[in-house]
Parts: sequence; structure tokens; C-alpha cells
Amino acid sequence: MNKLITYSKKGLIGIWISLLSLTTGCWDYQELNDYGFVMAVGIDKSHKKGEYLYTFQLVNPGVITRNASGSHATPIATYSQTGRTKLEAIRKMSQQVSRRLFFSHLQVFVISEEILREGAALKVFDVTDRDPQGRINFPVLAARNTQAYKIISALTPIDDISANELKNKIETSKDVWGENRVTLIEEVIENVLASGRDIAISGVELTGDSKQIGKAESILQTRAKGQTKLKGIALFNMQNLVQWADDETARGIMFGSNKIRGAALNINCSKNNNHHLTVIVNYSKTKIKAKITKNRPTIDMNIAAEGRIGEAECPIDLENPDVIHELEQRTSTEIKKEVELALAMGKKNQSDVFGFGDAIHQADPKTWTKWKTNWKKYYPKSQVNIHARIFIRTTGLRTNPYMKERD
Amino acid sequence: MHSNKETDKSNSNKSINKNITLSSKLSLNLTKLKEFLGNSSDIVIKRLQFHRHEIAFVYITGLIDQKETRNLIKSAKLEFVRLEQTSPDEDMMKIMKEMLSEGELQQLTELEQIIPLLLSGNLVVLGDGWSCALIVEVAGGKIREVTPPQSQTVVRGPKDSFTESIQTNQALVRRRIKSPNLHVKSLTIGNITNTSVSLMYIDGIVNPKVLNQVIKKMEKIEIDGVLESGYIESFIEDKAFSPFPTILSTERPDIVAGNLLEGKVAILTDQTPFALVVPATFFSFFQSIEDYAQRFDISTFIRILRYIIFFVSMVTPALYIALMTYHPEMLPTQLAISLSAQREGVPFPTVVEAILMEMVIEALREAGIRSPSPLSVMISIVGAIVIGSVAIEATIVSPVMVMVVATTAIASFATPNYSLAISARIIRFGLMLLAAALGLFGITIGLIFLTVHMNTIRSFGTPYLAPFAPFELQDQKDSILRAPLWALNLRPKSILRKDDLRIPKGQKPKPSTSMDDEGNKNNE
Repeated sequence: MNKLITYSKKGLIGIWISLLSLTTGCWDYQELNDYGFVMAVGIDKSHKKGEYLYTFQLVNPGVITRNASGSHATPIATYSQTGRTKLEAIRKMSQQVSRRLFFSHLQVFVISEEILREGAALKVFDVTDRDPQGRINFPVLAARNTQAYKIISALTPIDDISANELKNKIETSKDVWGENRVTLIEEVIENVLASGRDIAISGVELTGDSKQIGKAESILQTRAKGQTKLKGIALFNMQNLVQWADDETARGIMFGSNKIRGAALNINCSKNNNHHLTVIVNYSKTKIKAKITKNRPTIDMNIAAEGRIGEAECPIDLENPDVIHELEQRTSTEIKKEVELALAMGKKNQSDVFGFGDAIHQADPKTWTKWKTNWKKYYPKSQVNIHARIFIRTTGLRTNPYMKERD
Repeated sequence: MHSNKETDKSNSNKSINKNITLSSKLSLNLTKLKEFLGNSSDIVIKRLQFHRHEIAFVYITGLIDQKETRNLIKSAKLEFVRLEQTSPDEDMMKIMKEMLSEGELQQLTELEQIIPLLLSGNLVVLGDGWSCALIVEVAGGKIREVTPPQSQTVVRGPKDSFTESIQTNQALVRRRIKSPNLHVKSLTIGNITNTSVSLMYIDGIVNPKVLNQVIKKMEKIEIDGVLESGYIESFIEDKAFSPFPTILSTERPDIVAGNLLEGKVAILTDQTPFALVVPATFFSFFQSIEDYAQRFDISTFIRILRYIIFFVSMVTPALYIALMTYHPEMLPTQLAISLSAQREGVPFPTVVEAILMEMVIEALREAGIRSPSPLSVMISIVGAIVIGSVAIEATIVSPVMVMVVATTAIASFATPNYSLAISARIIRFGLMLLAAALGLFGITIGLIFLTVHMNTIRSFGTPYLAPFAPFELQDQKDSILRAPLWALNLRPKSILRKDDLRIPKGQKPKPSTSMDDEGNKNNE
């Protein structure tokens, strides 16, 4: 009998515990299809002072998965809302969107050049960093010469979701061309807080007919109208966008800040002709070392790269090691030149894009604490020694170019 | 022969409470016998009479070997005829004893000793003026043949399985272990059914503590009837309230033999083709006899696969619910969008949808097992077409839900032990509710609770999670991994509690050296 009582007591406790779990009332319970997946966020200046215009790109899951040819809905939809803070705009957005906005799958963040020039980067990311559901590992882009909402509204022909398209574009371009920096939100937050390095953000601009942006017709043709294109890297002085670096300068920034994952460098075959040869860079490692001499920062920048000859349109004897050696030297010089260009632009705008401040911080923390507050005064005076060295490992499947064989 | 050793047990039988001794009068004895058995119509009494002598053969139809009995009676008749002519005064009993001595013969006087033997298929011979009965073993009747196993099939390995006859089953094990140390201890359990149950173990290997525990527990059982080994199982298992089985049941004699060699005890029950093996740890349910038939690398891979499969069959629907309703940020973006699109238009919350579909699949499975075989085609059609595709087209369930349920079902089928697969099925529903209430947090709580619970269980003194908790390095060779046989040097330490050498070391095969020798000779 006693045993029976203890059994029933145990059972009762078990039932109580299991019922307790139900009293949570399914806290945070939310069906997946009640969420609106925000794929991209764009921020522009609003007409009203002190307010911003937030644009959200939402995905239309039904259209994406069904691949329905008869469907007239676009795969994405964008909504805009003004607000003094981002959260205000997000919550206010419920007046426009039927679903609860869900930011965990955000792919890309686009901020208009206008705002970046005013130095609002810090403000914008607070809610992103604070939100428990938020991620901070997606890239930020600067809308160059245009508004962010336009960039976000563009429809793209190959990827259904243009946010994905933008993200993939920048990832791919980083790997093969090397003029676009992938700057994640976390990096921005980190570097804006620290004073030893300035951020650099890739730009994106509109091409084609900007009036066609977001229209379904814009992608109903082989040469799509109203598209986006990555262009240049924005240099920052603290929080303010100061100048755009394009082409070689942009690549110089990438080489200097150890971000090259792949690049294609064009060089002349020899001094006296105009034939070109492309060296593909597979690997590049940049080391920055700082020391202080006579109250002046001295920086040693060592770039070690590896590559191969990707294309040679000139009569050149690639079987000759001396020729290869010469090509290596010329490519190294090209890299050095590009980095110098980037450095000059950085110095001019007081933008410590390579993180010399951090290097000094590591090398001489005492001096750094003295310099920290007015580092931007010391930075342009820094003496920088750039050493670039590339090794050409192979010439590809061919050795000598056709032009040489014909001779 | 199996039940007579334990006749003292049947003395305590409540239905036979009168102490009746046979008298010298045959007709009186027969009346008593008939009365005792309630004048049942399947009792056959063949009376033979000649001169002053009269004898009677009593048996129960169906339990005895018809042919043998007939022959016996016929030869008795012939003997009578011969006696009538030659020596009519000879001692009848002596003659009958001689005649019946081919089979196992007993001479009993107590009715309560005779009855159980009669009921287990013996021929009882009574004679006028004998005041005792001769009992001849002629058990027979229809017994199922030894067939390939139904529930534990293998590709490579022996293809026989236990039958309902305990004698056959014992023989099947003994054929595998031809050792004088293989001991069989018989018990009779069940006040009414008087079911024979026997323990098998290898003396010298078995852990005597475990054996004593088993015997003690078995002797304590008071039950009216034992119709399946599960009856015994529920009386001797260590933890009554647990979803996990602590006793391994198998219909394969090779598994029993293998376990006996590891120092375990097997319990065979009459009239059931399932033998019990104790002690059984959690990890022993993931072992298949084929693990030892295949090479060790393959076996290890398949074993690890089984653990994953078991986990999958337990948590998949719960994970689905948790991810869909609490943690969509953990899904890959493309998958989240795709799932969101699939859920569009589905009227029920994910939890309801999942429980509904799991119920349907459980019902289908049950229907598949229980229904008459002509209906099984019908069931698969209904299951596949109606529930699979039409439910999706009608957007009552989302396609991915069907996939989750199907994955779970397949994983459940792939779990090697049926009783463990069933426990995974029960746990699955609990985890689903926890996931619905608390998300991944709930699943974690559930799994922690399960782990704690498993740590509290013991199977005949062996911790359920042995050899992991407590950790036993030697036994790791044959738990999740399966080391090569020549490396499995010791018997399971977590069960036997001692180093018991099984396979001597140094037997790792090497390439034969004969070729090298020849090469050397040539060089010389």
C-alpha cells in the first residue's frame, strides 16, 4: 500500500512537471510561414530632418519555389518606411506588410553614399548587433551615386532574389577579380570602434535605365535593363566616407590589407611593345610590421604572392627561366605600384585603410596610447616601405604562346 | 523429461490440492483420473483386457506421437495374445516395463505427479492391481518446423531460428556449443499453464552473481500463466517504468550462443520462439550477429550508422518542429524560404501536422503488421497514394512533413532490435511535445532527462550504459566500434567484472612467409 502511494506521488510529480512545460504557452512560437524573410535592407536619407528611409527587400517564397511560369508576382517585394530609428521603421512596417519581419536570413545591407558621407555608420548597426535573432556576418555595400532603395528594388535575371545576387556577386568578384572588398557588418562595427584601422566598403551602382529598376519587364529580355554593378571601394576617415578608390587603387587596397583571394594582373610583355600578358594571382599574404623612429611611424609592408600565367598574347619565350623571372619582377612592381596608389589616397584622406595604427599598437603599445587620440595627425607622416614579391609557379597547360611558336 | 525435475514445484499447484495415491483398482483409478481432468473429451483411455489382467493406456490426443502410441498399444496386444497361450500368470507389470523400456520410463504412484506428465504429452499406463502408473515419454504432435528467422534476418549468417518447442530450441543452442560446460537449468512457471522455462549458461564463464540473481528472480514469479517470454521479462527486469528494454529478446540461436560465450544467461520459454538474454546493456541492442560475420571495418561503419539511425528515428520530427517554429534562423536561407513556401496554405500548426502524420504512419505500421496478408497491398496503396500524394496536393500537410515522417519511419525500421525501435517510437512523441512547447531547449531537456534515466538503469547488476558509464577501456573494442576478432581478447569486463581471456593475443594474420623463403633461396 505504501509503495502504491509513493508510485502515485511520483506519477503526480511527473504529470505536474510535464504540465508545467505547457504553461510556457509556447513562448516565441512562430510558424515559419508567418515570417516575412528580409533579404536586404537599404538605408537612405529621408526628406524629413533626422529621419531615415528604410527599405526592406522581402522574399516571396511561393514564387521562388514553384517556378511558376504563369505567376505574375515578382520573386521579391520591397517596402519603404521612414523612421528616426531603424527599429521604429521595422515596427511601423507592420502597417504595410502582413508578415512579421524576420532578419536572421539577411543577405546584404546597402547604405547610401549620402549617409555614409555624413558618418552615420555607427548609428545604423546598433539594432543589428543588439537583436538576439540578428546576424552580423553579412556584407555591407555602399550605394554609389544613387539611393539604396533603388539598388534593393532591382530585379535580377539569373538569381531570383536580388539580395542573393548582390551577395554572390561580391563574393565571386572578390575571389576572381580582387577589386571588391567583402566587408561584413561585424568588421564595420569592430573597426568603427577601434581607432587603429579605418573601414573600407565596396560600392554598388546602377547601370542601364534606372527608370526600369524593379519592373518585371526589365528582366524579360536577354540584355536586362536597370541592373546593379559593383564599383570601387569607399575609403573612410573614421565614420565618414571620404573618397572612392577605383580599379588599380581599389586592388591596391585589397593587396595592402591582405584581402586578395584571387586577381588577374595585366602587364606588358616587354618594355618596348604593347602586347599584354595576364598573371593570375592565386595567393597573396601581406604582413605589416611597424616601428617608431624619431617620433615617426615606420611601416614595413611585405607582400608575398603566388600566381601563374593565365594568358600571354605576345612573342615571349616562357621556357626561359630568366624571362619568367623578369615577369615576376614586373608583376611585383605592378603590385607595389597599386599599393602605393592606394596608400597615397589613404594618406591624402587620412584614411588608415591598411591598419597601420593596429600595427603600431602591437609593436609599441606605450607610444600608441600617446598617439591614439590624434593618430590621424601622425598617420600621413608615416614612412612606408613596400616589398612586393610574386612567384610565378606555372605557365598553365602551355609553355610558349602561339605568337612565339609562329616566329 | 524437462518438467519432472521440478515436480515439487507442481506440488504447490493450487488446482491439485487433494493428495491422492493410486489404488490397486484400475477402474477406480481411471474414474479418479477422469474426474480430476473434468471428463475432458480430449483424454483418450484405451483399455485392454485378457484373462484376469486388465491394463489401460491414457493419453491426450494431439500431445503425443500418434504413430508411436499406436505401435505401443498394438505390440501390447500382441504380447497379450502371446502370454495368453504361454504363461498367463506372469507378472504383467514386469512385462510391460520390459516392453516400454525403449523410451524413458517412470514409475509413479501419486496422482498429482502423474497429471502434469500426462498434460505435457506422456503416455500413462495403468494396470489392474498395480497401485502405480508407468509413464512413457511419447511427446509429439504437431510442432512447427525450424524456419528462417522472421524478425532478425541477416544476409550472411545462419538461417535457423527458434520454434515454439523448448526441446528444439535447447538443441539448437547445444548444437552450437558442444561443451559439457553448457548447463541447462529447468523451472516450471505458471500455476495453471505449468510452462517449462530453462536457463542456459556456460559454467565457468558466466558471472555467478548474475546467474543467482536470475534464478532468485525467476523462482519468485507467481503467475497463473506464461504464454510468451515477455511474461517472464516483465517480472525479472530491473526497472519497471522505463521506455528502454533491459533484457535482450531474440529468435536467433546464434545470438544466444554468442551471448552465452560472453558470459550471459539465456532464458528459454516453452511455446515461444523468443529467448531472453541477460544482462543486456543499451549498446548490446545495436549489435547484430552479422557484425561478426562481416569484416571489422564494414561492421564498425554499419554499427555507427545504426546509432545515427536510432538517433534520427528518435529526434527527427522533434527537430523539425523546433526548427520550424522556434529557430528558423538556424535553417540555411534557401531551405528556410523553400520550407516557408511549402507551409503556405497548410491549415494546421506544425506541431499538429507532425503529430497527425506520425499517428498516421504508426497506424499504417500497425495495420501492416496486424491485418490479414491479402489486405496488405490495399494498405500500402492507401498509405502511399492517399496519405502521401493526395494529402500534399490538398495542402493538408506540407511535402517536407511527409519526408520527415518517412525518414523517421525508415530509420525506425532500420533499428536492429524491435524492442528498442519501439522505445524510440514512444520517446519520439514525448520529444515532439517538448519541442512544441520549448523548442530546441525542450529537446535538450528531454535528451538530458533520457541520459540521466539511462544512467539509473541496471540490467542484472550491469549498468545500462556500460561500457561508457562506467567507462571500461577494454570493452570499447566491441561497443560502438567492432575491432577485428583477433583483437577482442577479453570477454566483456563490464559484465563479468574480471579479465577473462577469450582469444589469446598475437593472432593478427600476417602475409605468409613461404614466398619470402623461396626468394631467399634463389638469392643464395
